[in-house]
Amino acid sequence: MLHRLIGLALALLLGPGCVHPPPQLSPEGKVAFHARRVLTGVEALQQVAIEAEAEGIIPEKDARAIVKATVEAAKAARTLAIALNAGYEQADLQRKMITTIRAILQELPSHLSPKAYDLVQPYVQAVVAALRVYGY
Amino acid sequence: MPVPATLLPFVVKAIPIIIGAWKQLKERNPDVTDEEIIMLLQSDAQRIIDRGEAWLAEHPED
Repeated sequence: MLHRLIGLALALLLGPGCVHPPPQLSPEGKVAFHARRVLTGVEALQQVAIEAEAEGIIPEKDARAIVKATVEAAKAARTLAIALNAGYEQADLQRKMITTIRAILQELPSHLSPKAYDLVQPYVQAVVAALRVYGY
Repeated sequence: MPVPATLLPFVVKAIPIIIGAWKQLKERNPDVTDEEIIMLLQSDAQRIIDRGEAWLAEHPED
């Protein structure tokens, strides 16, 4: 399926080794840089779910589950950004965001029909690839 | 590679998503500061939250 190739392309773009943070960034800045890449994958997943529901490819119930998951993932990233701005220690914050997003993605299949999951799985894997850069 | 007709509109719409992701990743400001990139992270997150919540409001559970 072509959408699998598209998801694979996204995973390659977001995975480790494709784009590196500017060297002048501090550890906190680098955490934010990588988190933005994770959000690129999350945003693609959200958009794909919304488009697929609009096209009648997946039912609204499945799209709702995916969109809710992307909102929760984005909230985890927002929490990270706010805390980084406030000067909190970056290692713990990073771990919390990654753990939260991983848990959201792991739980997602249980809320979806097999067809819907099959369709979005490449995009989920792209987000997982982006998380891998953290070494978790 | 042949694409089933039912999936064609979806595939056509998915390609710009990838191109958009690639452009975002390639758009690099080599002088970006910590403060700027953290602000960008926050605004990226807020955009996804806002769009998702707007869509969910338009598609409430029965």
